[in-house]
Amino acid sequence: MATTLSAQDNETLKQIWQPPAGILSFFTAVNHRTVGLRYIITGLTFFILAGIAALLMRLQLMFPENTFMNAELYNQFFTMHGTTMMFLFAVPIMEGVGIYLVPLMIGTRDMAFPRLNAFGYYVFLISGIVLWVSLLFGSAPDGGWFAYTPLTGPRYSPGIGTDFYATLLTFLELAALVAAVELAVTILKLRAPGMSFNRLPIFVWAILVMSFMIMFAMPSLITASAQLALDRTMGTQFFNPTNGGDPLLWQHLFWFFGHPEVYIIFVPALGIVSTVLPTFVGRPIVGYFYLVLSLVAIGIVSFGLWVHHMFTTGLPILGLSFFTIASMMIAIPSGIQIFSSLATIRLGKPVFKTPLLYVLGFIIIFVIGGITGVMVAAVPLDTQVHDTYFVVAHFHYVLIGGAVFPLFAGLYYWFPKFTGKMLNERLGPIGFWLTFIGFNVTFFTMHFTGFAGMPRRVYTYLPDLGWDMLNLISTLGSFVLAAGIGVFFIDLIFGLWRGKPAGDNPWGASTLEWATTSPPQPYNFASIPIVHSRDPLWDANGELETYAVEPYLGRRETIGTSVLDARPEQRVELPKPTITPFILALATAFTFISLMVNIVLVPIGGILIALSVVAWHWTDIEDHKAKEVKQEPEGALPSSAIISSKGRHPTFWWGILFLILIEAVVFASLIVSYFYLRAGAEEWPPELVGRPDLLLPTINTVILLLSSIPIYLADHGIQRGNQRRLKMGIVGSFILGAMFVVIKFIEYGNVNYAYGWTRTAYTSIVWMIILYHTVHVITLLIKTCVVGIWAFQERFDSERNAALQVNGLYWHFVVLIWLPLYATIYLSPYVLGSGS
Amino acid sequence: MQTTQFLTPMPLPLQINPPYSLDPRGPGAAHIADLWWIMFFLGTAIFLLVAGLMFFGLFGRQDQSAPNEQQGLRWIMLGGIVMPAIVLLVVFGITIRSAVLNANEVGTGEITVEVVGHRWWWEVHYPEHSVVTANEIHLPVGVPVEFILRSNDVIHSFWVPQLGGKMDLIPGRQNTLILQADEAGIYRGECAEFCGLQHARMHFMVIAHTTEEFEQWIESQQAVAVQPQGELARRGEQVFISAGCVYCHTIDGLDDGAVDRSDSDLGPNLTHLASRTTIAAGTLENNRGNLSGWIANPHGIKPGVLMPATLLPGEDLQALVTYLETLQ
Amino acid sequence: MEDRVLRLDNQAHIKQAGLHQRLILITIFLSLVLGLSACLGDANQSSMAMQSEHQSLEGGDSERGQQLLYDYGCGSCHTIPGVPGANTYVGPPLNEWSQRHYIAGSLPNTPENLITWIQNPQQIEPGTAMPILGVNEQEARHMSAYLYSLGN
Repeated sequence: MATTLSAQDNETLKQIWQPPAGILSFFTAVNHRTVGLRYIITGLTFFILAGIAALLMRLQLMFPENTFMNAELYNQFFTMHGTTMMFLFAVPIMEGVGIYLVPLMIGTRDMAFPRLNAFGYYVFLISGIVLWVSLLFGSAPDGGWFAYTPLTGPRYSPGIGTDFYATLLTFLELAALVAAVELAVTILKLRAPGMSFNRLPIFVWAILVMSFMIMFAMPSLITASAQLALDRTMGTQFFNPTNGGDPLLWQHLFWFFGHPEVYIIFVPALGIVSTVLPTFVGRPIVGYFYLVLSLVAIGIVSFGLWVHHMFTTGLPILGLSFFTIASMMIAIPSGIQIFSSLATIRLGKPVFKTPLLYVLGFIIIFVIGGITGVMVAAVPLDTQVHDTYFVVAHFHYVLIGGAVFPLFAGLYYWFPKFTGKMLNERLGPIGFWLTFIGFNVTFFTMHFTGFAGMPRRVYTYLPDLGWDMLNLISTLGSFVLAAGIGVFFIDLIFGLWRGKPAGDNPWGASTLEWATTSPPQPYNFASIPIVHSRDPLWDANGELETYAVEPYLGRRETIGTSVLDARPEQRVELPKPTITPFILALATAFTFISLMVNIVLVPIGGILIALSVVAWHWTDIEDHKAKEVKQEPEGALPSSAIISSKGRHPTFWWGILFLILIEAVVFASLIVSYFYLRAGAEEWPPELVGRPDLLLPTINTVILLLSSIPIYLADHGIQRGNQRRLKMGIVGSFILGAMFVVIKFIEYGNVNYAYGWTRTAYTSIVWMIILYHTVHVITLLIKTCVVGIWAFQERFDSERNAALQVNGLYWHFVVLIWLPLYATIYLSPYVLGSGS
Repeated sequence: MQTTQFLTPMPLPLQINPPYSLDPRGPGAAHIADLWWIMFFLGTAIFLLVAGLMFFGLFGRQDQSAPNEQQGLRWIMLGGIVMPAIVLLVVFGITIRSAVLNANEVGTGEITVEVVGHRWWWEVHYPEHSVVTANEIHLPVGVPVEFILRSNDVIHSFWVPQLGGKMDLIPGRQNTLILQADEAGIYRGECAEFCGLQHARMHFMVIAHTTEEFEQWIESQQAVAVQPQGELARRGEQVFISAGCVYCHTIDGLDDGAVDRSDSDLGPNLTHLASRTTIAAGTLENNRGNLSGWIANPHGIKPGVLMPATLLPGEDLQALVTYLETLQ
Repeated sequence: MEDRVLRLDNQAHIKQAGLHQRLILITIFLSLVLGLSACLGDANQSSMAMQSEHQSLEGGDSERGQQLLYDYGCGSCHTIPGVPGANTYVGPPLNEWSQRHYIAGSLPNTPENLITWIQNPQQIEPGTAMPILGVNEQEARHMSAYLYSLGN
């Protein structure tokens, strides 16, 4: 049933989606294209900064015993180079491209949670700026982007530099995680009608896989960086070997994130390749199903490789060979990607435009990086090349070849869509060739430098070791590379300034983003397109069938569709421009920076965050008072707003589901930390502390478990329209939850724990787990207060109760996750005895 | 100890080889170099295949028949799945073989050397011979040596490229590594794990001798320092004590009034300083000029090093250096 | 251990690295193709080029002198342009040496005085911190040749 909008509705649509104007608009914009472009531009800025840092390092290494830069500065530079490239450039820019393109490619008007999206950007921006400002003041982190403990611990890195790293990284991961959650929800719930999973563009698949990878990988880093920050500021002992801590715990947690991180960057890049390539060879990509499967396989297998960064730490050889085979296995899905590209090139008719050049450059460079990747996966060879320039060469081949080249291809490809202007086809190839040649001169040479015995992360080297010429060549090459990238940026700026106007679809591409104007209207699509195939624009023969969403409620809306087959299900409300994300980001930043400066300020930050959250939701409630009176026309899809959602699970239910997934991984990494520390301890718990008391915690556990029952009854009751049961249930669960928290505090007043969390690694991890969980229960109580107020105002009925469902879901999660925590902390010392 | 009389006498003079890991001088590094060359040729073949297919696709003549998907899927099947699977099995096989070969050939260590990593130097013990030295490890040629690796502060990594792979020194843990030198010579070692400010200047030397020479060396290192001859050197000995050097550096046999060094970050044992090739952890050749400059201000050479600058009158500096040069 | 045995022979390193250098030939070729090596210079490089013209001192080879200044560890106390690692300020910096008028604040800066000073500073100024390094006359001549090439 294809429908289109009337002319009058079109006018209304324009009005509703009017972007904010004026100076304040920078802080109020929430539209995905604005936020996406900001991510891309900010990411490129950090790319330039980190690139300049790299050039300066290359100048220092140009000659042996060079004095261009001292050791202190050099160490800060390589730390900032790595940290910036990974956390402030590669991941954010891939997310930014996804945030800009995914809604367009799946035919919707915005992300599922635009405000959260804006919030994520501000978090990213603030942490990036603070990190670089620290460099200006000469106190940037200097322990490497991998920040191995105990070098980065309080004893060996006493300054504030590493605090910046540990704290800001934890903060920055928030941005990555919110982007991952909303990208995943957007892809699952907001696809255009008819866009079932087998019609999803490869790029969107890649972003979906990337989002899930972020959700599984980042929590491990958050746990580790939080532990490091606590070690540094609170005096906990997680990584201090003299008090039961273990430096290798950091390495495990870090690389469990750090290895997938490489693929988090690489997977969307593969998506770009498989999107750009078909357009320039004029045929669909070969082996769509193989490609999708291999993307998913890469996502999964990448979690089994982290130990290959630790081949020289003296782990048992048998375990290492498992990681060898797993690391080599990933060559198969990567091989599928490459051969799919080769087959597509073979079967198509290539048109040599700049984006295609970058894709071809990707194939050449990435294959070399992949081959050296298989080499370093072999334990014996890795023990030679690990931490040498060979590895530097390898991962620059993988990251620059595997991510930067595709990214540049993508930026050339989508620039007309972003700006409505074409880039210069004469400057493009010049930039490409300089980049390609400069890159290879710089980094191919480094393979030899590594075999010549030069370790990484050295600020200078002795003359006459056979490294002089190699380093000189690399430095010269790096300037050619920089020139190429310079040409690229000049091309972008020149294109913005006086590029020829681009039509809607200048390349004759097949995906939905090219069905909009260039640049798109604020609402992307006046009517939502209906999709019948994988290449809608090639198969539509001119006219796309569309599905109209009449703007009769006078608010920003789009269609929510079912997860599997994308049938229209609900009208998803989207927020107006608002400043609250910015305020919340500031409040959160304040809290995190307080952690570094003065712990006393943290509660103030907590209050600021709470106030910002209230302000955030305040507008929702106000809006609803006005809107609920309007009559919905016959046959309209049910709406999905925060209180009054009816029908299927609203988008924010999915958001909470993914939040739970993330939280579960955080708790899992805490439990893993506990048992890892236990395995390395002689005595666990230490004699000094003794086994925990069982009585009070067990009673408390029962209380917490019981609290799930009233919540369940309340949910159940309201679905039958029973308001009384709803109110009783909420009050009941609130009381039980509050009892749990009170008893926890009583328990921790007990002498048993008076030793404090700074005593040994054991007390540190127990305190951390319990505190973290208690904070969850307190959050739960606050949330329940809000839902309770709505319940007593009788805003819910048998159909409109999504907020309750969401609250219930989260409640049950917090209760259930306590069981493994209880077993770990209280039961395991009795069941497993006292240590190895 | 195993004797290796059949080996030819050590060629003189010894040369320090560049630390080139593909120029192996021990079984560990040799097996790895072999593994590398096999992988290199396999990798090159695969790269040429992929590049060839790419150029064939770009510039090769199109099939007259309509391009078909089936052909493309065949490429993916063969090139993306079958070929990597076979290559990986082969590579995995030779990797395991290399590890096993190395383990068999080197076996267990016949001499034990304990290496403790410090920021930024190496403390070396020969527990079986009661010898302590620093930044310089002497080995007999052809004898597998077991290194026991520990760290006192942060993580370091022990690496002698020409003898074998590297192994980390991790605080709170103990790792072992067995290396063997097949040829007499001086091999460079590096710290391969970033360990802070002066990670770049944390080298060491591995000196491989014939067994006789090694035993001679052990014997010479077991001796304690005797009262030096000559007025200047004796004055230097006093300077060593009065200028505070003794608070971090031990000289066995020196009557230093039993200084308590347990609380400080200790510096290298200097009992046989003059017999070492280098100072400042392989950074400088051990000669009079370097030694003087190093003592006067180590921070000019190795900024951030834990050794403080020592402000001495010129004559005291001369005397101190003269004394240190007697510590053969 | 004899001194002779353990002397670091830096020239020998370079010859030893033959295999290695063959491998890097390819990359050298690449950079030559780019023709960029000529455009970028540095103090290190230019002083190398200069010194060959300034063998003003009779019998002194400034190139050998540069190597000797490194081998004897002069850089541990003095800043000497063109000598790797010579960036310290224990003694006076020797940049622009040919512009200096006095050695050790008393001796006129002539080649003969410099050669004597390098060999035996204690004789000229008893109590100076500069040690007698055992440099012979010919070596001191080479070193002086290099030093006089600085600041010309």
